[in-house]
Amino acid sequence: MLENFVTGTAIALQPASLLAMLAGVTWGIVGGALPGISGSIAMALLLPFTFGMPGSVALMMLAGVYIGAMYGGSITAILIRTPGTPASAITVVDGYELQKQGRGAKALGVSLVTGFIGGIVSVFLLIFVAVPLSKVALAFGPAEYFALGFFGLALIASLSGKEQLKGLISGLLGLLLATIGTDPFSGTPRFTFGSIELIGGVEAIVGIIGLFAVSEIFYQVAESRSWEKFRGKPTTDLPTWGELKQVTPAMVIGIVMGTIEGLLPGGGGSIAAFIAYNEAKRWSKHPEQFGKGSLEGVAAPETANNVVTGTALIPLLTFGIPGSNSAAVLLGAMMLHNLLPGPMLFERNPDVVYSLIMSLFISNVFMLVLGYLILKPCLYLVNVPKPLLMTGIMALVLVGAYSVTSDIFNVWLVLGTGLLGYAMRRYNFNILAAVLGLVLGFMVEVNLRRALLLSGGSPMTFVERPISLVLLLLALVTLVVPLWRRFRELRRRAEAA
Amino acid sequence: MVWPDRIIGSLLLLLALAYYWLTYGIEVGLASDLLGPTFFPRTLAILLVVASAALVVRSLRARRGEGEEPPPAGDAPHRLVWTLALTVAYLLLLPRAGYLLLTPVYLGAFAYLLGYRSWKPLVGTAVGVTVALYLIFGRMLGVRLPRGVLFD
Repeated sequence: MLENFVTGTAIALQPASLLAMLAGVTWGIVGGALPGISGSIAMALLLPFTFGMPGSVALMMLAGVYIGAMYGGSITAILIRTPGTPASAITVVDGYELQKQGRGAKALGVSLVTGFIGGIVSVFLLIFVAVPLSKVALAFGPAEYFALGFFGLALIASLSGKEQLKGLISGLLGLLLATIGTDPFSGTPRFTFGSIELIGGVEAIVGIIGLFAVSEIFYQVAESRSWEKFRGKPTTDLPTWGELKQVTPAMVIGIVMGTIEGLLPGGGGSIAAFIAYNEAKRWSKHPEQFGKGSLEGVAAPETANNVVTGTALIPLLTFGIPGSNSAAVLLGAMMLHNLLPGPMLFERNPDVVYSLIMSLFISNVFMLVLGYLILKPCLYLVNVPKPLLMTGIMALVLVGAYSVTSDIFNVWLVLGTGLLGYAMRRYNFNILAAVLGLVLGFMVEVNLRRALLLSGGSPMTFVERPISLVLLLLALVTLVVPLWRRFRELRRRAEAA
Repeated sequence: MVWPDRIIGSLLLLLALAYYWLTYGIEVGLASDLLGPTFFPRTLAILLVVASAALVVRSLRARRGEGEEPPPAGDAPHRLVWTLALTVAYLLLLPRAGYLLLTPVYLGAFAYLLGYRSWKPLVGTAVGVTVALYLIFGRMLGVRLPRGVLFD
């Protein structure tokens, strides 16, 4: 236990790890600040670079991006009224108001410091919840892994979008993509249409880049308007003790909401920030100042979205269930580096888990320092004309996809999945569910068949094993409850008519 | 959201049926496990048939103006079509023309397509990005980018 933390710290403090975190946080702040590049997209764009790295270093870097992006998003939200990430959308309300009053520097400072505090608190939450939780869930065999994957998919498909039916279809589409390629059991090719390139299947990383990043490029391309430029001298004005004390209640609300939303599937930073803002307004001593440049209105959402960076890792690390887009990219990175997510991760790869946890402390410190230092270069990039910025990102995406197997075929795939992602967004389908289907499909099928092999063909194994039974029942509840609600609603409407 | 759902649901239904039909082309070896390579895909296909049929039925029963509004589409959808055409052309020519030669042309055309008209920054970005990515991926990470017939 304690020695795991020591080992983890030692790994996190290695020069290569520190360098990776530094690069990750820097790119996170810059990418987060750029409108159109959310935390998950910034992480997806970085995936091709993590190939040659050890899994632990790759995860530390991506977590750094996640953390940095939460602050980066608030820079543009405050200074040019355009949230760099959805997680900072609500920060615009009071942040930009402060900027108009000439107090933008103070708003940035409050966002940075409260975000840092939220981030550090969330690492403690992660340690105190995830580590004991990992002790409970052991003894996972194929039946349990199948049930877990099934449960995770059901959860994301039904809870993270607005429409459950479309969420389910999205998850199925992801699973369909995952079945392309060589059958993991018998070695026969499936749905390859005689193509050699498809034998290896659709790489999860290509799907992640396509569905998350390329679809966003397509959205930006179809929109000729651009965001505003920032004129003037950007500075960060750190909050005084008095100001920090004044926003403390808002921070506490942010921490509570960030914790709840990080744990819930389909929550994520944007919803946490939104709810934290509303609650902070409700409980504030000066609710009338909200919307007119309240520091609390910046502190609450910016604390909440940074808290999510740690708490979202709780379901991811202990159960292998990512609650948000960014956590899904982390899951993809874990699979890429052959780290089987789920309760056994703590047992099998304690070095990876504990170094990741310890790295979050360091990355939060990096965020605090870099957020202060790189504001100017960051805004320089924000002021780059949108066509040129999109050109750079497009090139990065294409070359990144090519680099996966040094093959143009993957570039075609990234283009195709990008178009699929664009269509899915356009018609309210659920990209996160599709990504999860693609990433988990292999694990779900292999463990289904392996479990039956072990049980001698008896499907009762899924019901006889208690953990598997509970997970499958939970999955059933997740799928049925929204249907039941909808049925009742329809009946009520029919009665009313 | 009534009309698009009807069409999308029908297309998905066709996709699911075609996918199911394709499973008959999968060779099931003698030494296969109980479920074999076709069970999982067929289950998915059946679920997708049910789900997409439900989507069609729902959209047939829904009244106009019901349901969630999608995020607004951009004001320049034709740009997306041109972007796709340009990128497809780029990928088709890439193996012959080579990365270093073709990429600046493609990126320049892309920026122009997005409405950028200042020549110096446009050329600078196109060439700069190409070279930067070449150095990072081609040199540092050892990716073999397409060289094209000229340099072969």
